[in-house]
Amino acid sequence: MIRWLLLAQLAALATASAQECGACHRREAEAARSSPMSHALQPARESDLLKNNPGLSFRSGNFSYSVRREGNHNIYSVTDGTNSINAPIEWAFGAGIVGQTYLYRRDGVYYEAPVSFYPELKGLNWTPGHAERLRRNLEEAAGRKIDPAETRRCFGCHSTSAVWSGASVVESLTPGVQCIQCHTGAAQHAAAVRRGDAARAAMPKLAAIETEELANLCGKCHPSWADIAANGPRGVLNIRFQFYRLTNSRCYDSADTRIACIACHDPHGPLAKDNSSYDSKCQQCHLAANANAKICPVSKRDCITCHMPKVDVPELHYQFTDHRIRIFKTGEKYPD
Amino acid sequence: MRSVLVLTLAIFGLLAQPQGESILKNAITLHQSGDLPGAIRLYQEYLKLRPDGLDALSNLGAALAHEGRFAEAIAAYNQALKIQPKNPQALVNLALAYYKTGRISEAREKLESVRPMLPNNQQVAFLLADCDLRLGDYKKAIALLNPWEKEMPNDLGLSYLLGTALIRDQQTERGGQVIDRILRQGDSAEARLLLATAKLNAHDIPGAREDLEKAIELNPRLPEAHAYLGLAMVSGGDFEAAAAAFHAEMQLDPYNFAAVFQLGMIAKRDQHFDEALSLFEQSLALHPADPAVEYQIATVQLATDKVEDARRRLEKLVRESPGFLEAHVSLATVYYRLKRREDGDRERAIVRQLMADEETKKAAGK
Repeated sequence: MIRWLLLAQLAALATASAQECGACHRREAEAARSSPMSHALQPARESDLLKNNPGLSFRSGNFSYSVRREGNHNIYSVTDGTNSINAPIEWAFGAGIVGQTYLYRRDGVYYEAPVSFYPELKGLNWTPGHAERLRRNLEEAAGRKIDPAETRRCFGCHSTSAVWSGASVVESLTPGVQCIQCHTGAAQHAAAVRRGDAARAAMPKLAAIETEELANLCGKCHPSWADIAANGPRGVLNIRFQFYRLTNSRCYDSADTRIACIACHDPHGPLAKDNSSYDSKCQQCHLAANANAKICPVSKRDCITCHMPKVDVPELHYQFTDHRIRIFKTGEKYPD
Repeated sequence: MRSVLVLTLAIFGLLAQPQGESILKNAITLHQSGDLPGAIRLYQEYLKLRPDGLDALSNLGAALAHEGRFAEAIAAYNQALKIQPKNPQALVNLALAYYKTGRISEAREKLESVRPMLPNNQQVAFLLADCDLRLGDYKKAIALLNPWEKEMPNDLGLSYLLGTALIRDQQTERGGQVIDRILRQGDSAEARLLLATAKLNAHDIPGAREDLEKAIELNPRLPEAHAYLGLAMVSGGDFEAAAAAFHAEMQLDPYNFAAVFQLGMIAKRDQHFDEALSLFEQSLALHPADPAVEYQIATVQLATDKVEDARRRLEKLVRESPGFLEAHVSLATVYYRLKRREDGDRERAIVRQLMADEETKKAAGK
């Protein structure tokens, strides 16, 4: 009972903080509601992708997979034609731009479903890393068991307040990335503001911190340059690790905030999809007045269409924007 | 007065020698009858009278080792070697005691020193090859075993050692021939383990796992089978099962480097940093100065905000192993954390160069 109360309080704190932040930081709070990060996790019953696709199926070898909507529930099922394993999906991971992966629970343990939804396919296909897994029987075909450490990491990044005193308290989480996930100390800041304690209310301004420091902050969830340089993957599969790709750009400068993640992306808002909206970011450096930066002889518009080409990753059924900014040459080998 | 004292000492000496010899004789009798605690007590009693008793020291070491009291056995053998530094039996026994306590580098050193004295001794050659294998010197193990292969082509133990060295050295074709030779003698746990090792090298994780499970079914006590199963499970992302496999290996051999090291990696993954550090330190005792272990210790230091400690360790590591890419990566991170931007940029440039070199080598190999 005490544990439940503590969990409920913790959940209230995260939610209240988000609302409380919005009382003063209205623009950011409103924009954040539509940002992909705030939808990084959803209870499966609230997933629009699942609501709009009530009958999904996929077959490979001896096994057939399906996800079907039954009332407010989404039932994941795998069968070998004779027997089957069924379980309600609890969580949908990912905002659904690239794809959405599902977690279900059996005997108190979380499993990652081997099939994910891909908008590009408008259907199911292998979850990354599952195509090559051993499937000798129905149990192995049903999915990958997620151990407590991985559960903590998954929910730690895709939700807010899921991790408490080093233990996973999934029951108390707030789905998606909320203010306090990046703005450490927001709760104390809000309390100090309430008390009128201006001295204690001060918070570090994230927009002002150095590029590498910011990379470390974002790198808590988005794999950093060091993560990928040390552990891979090599080749085209590292296209989705934007900070790694950006850091390997010739124009990357660890001291220059004009090339930091948030120089181009507003973490509080939706992803800008209009190519020209990024031109002004490039022109922060690539101006005629700046002798150190080259000026593009081809165009002054839609810089990213040439210099940040789209790369298709068949396993992920998506075209990713390559954040390794460069003069792209047709037929070039993918630069690692 | 002086003459009385001399006479007393002389009488005492005359009496002590036969008494000492009878103690030694009794000790040997007890040793041969299997009463090892009794034999140990008498050897120790004898050595109080004759601290330079070479046979007693050697026998004491053997009895202590048999009782699993390896630290004391090592001390006895070392004492014997002080008296006769080139005593081959004491050197072999000391090497065995080191081997059984996981001090493989020291075992190898002793075996290398005894080998010129016993060039045709099969036990010495095979044990030395096994030490080379465990320390990752596959080519040395192969060179050592090659002459024996001609003499004993059907020896299963030799084929197993040689096959393992060949497979781990990526000499797939010759390794495959040795595996075939083993398989011709029927399905065996050893053959399955070898097949699994070859499959792991070829990144066929499901195949390796199947062979390892079969190997364990055939012989649950086969050395390294559980550790390799754990490695296959780690590659497949099944960390809980992998930890259980590594623990099973450590039940059989508490000094198995792969099991200790991988348990450290799993503890680090679970953010149990104190436990990880302790396991990495144990790994370092098994493989002294192993760069991979040193690197993991540095990453734990970095994760626990001991940034200066991590910097010192990583700087030493890249000095000693300048091509160690991951160490340069972590060192770059350390420098950025310490606000030493130029040093961080330099390390990052080294990483890029190393990656480019790797790419060039790969392309040249195709």
